[in-house]
Amino acid sequence: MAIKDYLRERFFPHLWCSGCGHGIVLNSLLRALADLGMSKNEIVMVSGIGCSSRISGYVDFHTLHTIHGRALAFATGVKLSRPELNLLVPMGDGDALAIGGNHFIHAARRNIDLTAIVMNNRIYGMTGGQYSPLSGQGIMATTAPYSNIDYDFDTVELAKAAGATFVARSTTYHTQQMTKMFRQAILHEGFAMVEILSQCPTYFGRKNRAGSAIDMMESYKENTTPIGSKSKMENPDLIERGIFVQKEVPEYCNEYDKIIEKAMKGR
Amino acid sequence: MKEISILIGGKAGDGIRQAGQTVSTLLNRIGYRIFFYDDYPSLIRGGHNFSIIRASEKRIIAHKDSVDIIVALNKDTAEKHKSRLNAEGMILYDSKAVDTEGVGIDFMQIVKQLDGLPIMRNTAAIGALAKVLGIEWPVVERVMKDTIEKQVALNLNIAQLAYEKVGTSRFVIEKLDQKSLPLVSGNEAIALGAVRAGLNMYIAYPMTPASAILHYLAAHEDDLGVVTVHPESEIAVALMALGAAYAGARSMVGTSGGGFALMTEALSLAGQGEFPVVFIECQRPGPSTGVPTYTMQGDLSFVVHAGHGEFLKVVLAPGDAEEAFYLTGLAMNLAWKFHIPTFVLSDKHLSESIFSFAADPDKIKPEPPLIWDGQGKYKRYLDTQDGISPLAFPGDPAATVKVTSYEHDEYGITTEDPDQIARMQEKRLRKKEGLIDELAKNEQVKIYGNRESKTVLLCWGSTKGACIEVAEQLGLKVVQPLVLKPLPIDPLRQALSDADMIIGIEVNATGQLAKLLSGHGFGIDHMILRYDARPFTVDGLLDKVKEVIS
Ligand SMILES: Cc1ncc(C[n+]2csc(CCOP(=O)(O)OP(=O)(O)O)c2C)c(N)n1
Ligand code: SF4
Repeated sequence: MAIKDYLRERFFPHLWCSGCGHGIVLNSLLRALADLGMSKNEIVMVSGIGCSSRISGYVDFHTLHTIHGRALAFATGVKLSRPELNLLVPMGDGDALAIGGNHFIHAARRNIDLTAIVMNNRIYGMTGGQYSPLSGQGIMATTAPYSNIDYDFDTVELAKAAGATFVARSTTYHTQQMTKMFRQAILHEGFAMVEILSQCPTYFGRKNRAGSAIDMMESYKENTTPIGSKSKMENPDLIERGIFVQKEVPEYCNEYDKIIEKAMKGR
Repeated sequence: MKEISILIGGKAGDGIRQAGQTVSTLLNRIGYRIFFYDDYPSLIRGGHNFSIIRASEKRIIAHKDSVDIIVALNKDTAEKHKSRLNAEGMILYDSKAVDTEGVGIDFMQIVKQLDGLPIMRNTAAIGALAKVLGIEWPVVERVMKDTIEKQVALNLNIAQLAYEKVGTSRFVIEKLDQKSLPLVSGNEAIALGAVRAGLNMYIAYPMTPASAILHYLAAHEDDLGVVTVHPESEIAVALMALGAAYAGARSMVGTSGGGFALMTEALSLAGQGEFPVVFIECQRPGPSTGVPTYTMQGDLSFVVHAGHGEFLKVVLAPGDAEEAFYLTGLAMNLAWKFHIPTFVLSDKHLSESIFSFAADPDKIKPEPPLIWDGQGKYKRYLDTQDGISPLAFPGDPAATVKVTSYEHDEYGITTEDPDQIARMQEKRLRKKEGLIDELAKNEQVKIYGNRESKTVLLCWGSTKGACIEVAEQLGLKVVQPLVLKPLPIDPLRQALSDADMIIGIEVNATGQLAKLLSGHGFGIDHMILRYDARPFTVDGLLDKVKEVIS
């Protein structure tokens, strides 16, 4: 299927600011789906609320644009009732890990077969540049005009600890890697979490003097490194990219089927 | 001419709200009273944005559909709003982007000529507009110096060049002989009212149209001294505020309907545990995410009835910036006097509009709560005649402060004893008598227009602005309850008793105030409802009211 067929072109131009990373994530995601040859009606995309979550408006699949922070819980309901569908759940960092943090860890723990994508721009774009749980100390934000004192989560460590069976990270600079990761995440049976560092030049960039979108993407190149690389040992501040966890663990819907079978035995 | 309305429009990201505010300041400086309305989509970039600045010799708190000048930075503005122009009206437009009749100037050319940034196109538009309005250059210069933060000289040059390009003025906006007033948004008024009443801590999760309260208090942490916290969700927000109140801090939270839905669990805890907390609910159209950046009065029933179980609460509904200021102060003092949750119900139209602000700050003082006298063993829930149990706070060496979400005895120890349960329910509800007496010391129902008229426009909140002007023009009476819970029955009866016709006017689809009042025996004869997420305008409402009364 051609990438264009996955898009609802009549809704373009999209509403993201020029330079916003979210469009790049959309691009890579559609490429991954095209590579896998997936048909539109076997995909359901569930998103929350935020600039990132608007992604569901531009794709021509079944979509549920739910409420802020709740996409994973919603998607769990869909998956449980129609396990044959492929569930994609793109979320902003605030969406996934502030208001939706509880759903995030429990979806991971359950190992339900969803693909969660955290589009991490370290700020709330939609509502005007407030800090998020991924901003970290020293970041300037509308709600931290004298700089943020909150520590940030490491999304990868959090997902790992919560039991996610596929955990990966890339950036909008590394689109090939991102596309490949999406492919693997979608094929993975169980809870897959892919974190993508995605620039918000409008709020994060301006408030933190991070320069243009291009500067921000270049910083993704400079400040990240493949997992276990030599440069990580030399410079521990570098952020690792790649697949951190990929393991086979019985999946929730399958386990549920087994329970039903057991309960119904002989009937 | 002693009144003028100006519409400025462009794309989201063109700096329309800011341009509108500068124009408001300009007219404010020469003695006009201002009402500023901002209309923007829930998009960061693109989409159509416009602001309406209405300036008048008299105090005004509403805008009109019709305008005298349109400043069009893009084609959409000219096309969408042309029909609003008054007979004498004109369009001032960016001649590169728009093709229409009026005064066209190539704003971008001016910016480029002076090496400015693209966003400074609106500075050029302001300069040109000032000339169209016949405002003297030195006034423009002073206002720009006061309002522009960066690259003042460059902005001034751009504005001046545009000012000169206009040639002759089309209007003569004379300077008025009255003192200019501060320009304050509804949200700022809420923040300031709370600060005057002793606010220590403001906790909120961003949500339009309440976010500006948080931004304002965060940016003014240095001079207003309020601790602001933005936690992970509204659930955390409400519970942190309860915790802060338990420890003695005057705390307040602010959100919109969707966020408040998440706070209702904590609200019931505030009812059971008797926590003093102020909730600000800035309504936007629902249900659910709804229409984030537009307005509706759709949460009245929700807020009045929110929370499981039976407990006392207060809901106040300001309709302009002064009321927002006073009523937030009152909400704080009532919360701490009666140890109850109190509400200020605003909406996008009040919260984000800007008003000429004439409140008297000395009318709000933090009233100290009843504090435990240190005698005997401390009982947080001491059963008193008026139901109010003196407060002590954790850290007090003489008191152990036990609070619980379970039903409890006077010490705050869980109980299932039927007598204890009934007694505590009664103790909490008994506070209502004192509360009603206290509320009666304040103006609870406002009356405007022709007091003798037997035709009443019944409204609440931000809808009052349009209602007052319509009533003045048609010789009708306006009744606006400021307190929605507990409903001020006697003052309402007085205000409505000799009416022949009551017309309920609300920005919602079902007439929620009318419903509330009809439960108390008030009959509403007609309803004028607007539920397209836009507020009533003076001229729009005038036509509707005329239809009903003719
Ligand atoms: C219950 C609730 N609270 C608050 C909001 C307002 N809100 C909408 S999106 C958003 C945050 C967006 O940030 P993020 O999730 O990081 O996504 P981004 O816009 O940066 O892509 C907030 C606070 C809401 N819609 N619902
Ligand atoms: S505000 Fe930030 S996250 Fe939102 S569209 Fe613009 S750049 Fe993207």
